[in-house]
Amino acid sequence: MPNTKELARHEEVQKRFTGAHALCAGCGIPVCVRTILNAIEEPVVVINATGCLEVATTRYPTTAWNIPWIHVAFENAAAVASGVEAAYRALRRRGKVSQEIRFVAFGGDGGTYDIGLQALSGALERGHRFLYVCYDNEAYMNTGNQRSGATPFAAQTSTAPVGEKSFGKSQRRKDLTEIVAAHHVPYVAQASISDWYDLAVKARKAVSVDGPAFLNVLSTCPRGWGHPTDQSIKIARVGVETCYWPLYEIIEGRWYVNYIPEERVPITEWLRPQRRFAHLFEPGHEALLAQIQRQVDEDWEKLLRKCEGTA
Amino acid sequence: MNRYEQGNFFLAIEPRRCKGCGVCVQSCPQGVLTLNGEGKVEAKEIARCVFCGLCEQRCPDFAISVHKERITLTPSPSPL
Repeated sequence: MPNTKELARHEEVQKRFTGAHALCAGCGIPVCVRTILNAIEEPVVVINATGCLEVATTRYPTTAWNIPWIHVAFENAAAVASGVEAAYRALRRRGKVSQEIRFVAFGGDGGTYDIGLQALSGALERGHRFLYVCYDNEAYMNTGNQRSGATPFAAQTSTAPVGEKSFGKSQRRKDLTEIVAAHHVPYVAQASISDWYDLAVKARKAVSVDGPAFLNVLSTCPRGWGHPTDQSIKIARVGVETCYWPLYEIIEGRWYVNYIPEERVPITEWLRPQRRFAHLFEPGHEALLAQIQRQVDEDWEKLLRKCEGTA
Repeated sequence: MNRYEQGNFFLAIEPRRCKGCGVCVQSCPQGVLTLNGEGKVEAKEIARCVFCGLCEQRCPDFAISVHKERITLTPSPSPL
């Protein structure tokens, strides 16, 4: 399994993702992309959905990608990945390509949870061998923090503002990891940028399975979440410790929880440093805080029940 | 290019590349790194560094790197 020296060696052989991109200070995306690409040993082709990663790494006439990279539109990263993978298999059958190549699609939560869900569902169902990575920063951050299907309950966004009649987003976020798991794909996992080893191991497991794989990675956004730029990793870590973002994987339909905190941190520790939840700490919103804690508790209990017998 | 040496290894930090996101500071298992007044990373306690390379792996902007002495280092050609 990978260690830092091994990951660094991969980077010496081929620097796949390079610097001088325009991603913000404190953004979780480059951390996630570097770790995943360095963990994969085989040559990689990257398919990118529209989003922060695509916009910030390919400002004309520069690029931050040192490997084959393709972007078509917002909604079809998974469909493009299917096409590229099918072409590769056809070429292999004819003996024109002999190399083992891995296909990794990167999409944000907007391009995965909402806009690209249909394409992703189709690609998963057809069983193409590729890895889809969703870097989940919980809103449409590229266009100015609009709510998405991944935005958590009671978070303030520009299209779910806080006021007298509103407390932010009034719906719960959807559980994409479970939606993907319902496609019976061989490997599905949830990871966080705070746990690099867990993420690297999951990336390697994901590309080694013969079929589609999916990684949902919690990625911080200082601009949209409103936390200090130098606190990203710590905040993601608290997300894991509170069980708001549990680390687990589903291998061939069997659920495994990867990390059980010794003592669960109350959800307020996750909410407090973020400006998008600041209104919850004003008087009169105690019931909302209690409701969020109850939701997290319920989800965690449910997850533990699914993982019974495998942990 | 700032150079912090310890034995056969050294840490090289390119302040022009650093955005001050603190990913390396929060990832360092030994608490070697810190952000200075200008918001750039600095190796405060290089004596504690174990040269695991995690900061180099995690840096989103390729500002920090771990080297063995025998490798000669040239400054990056373009500022950014």
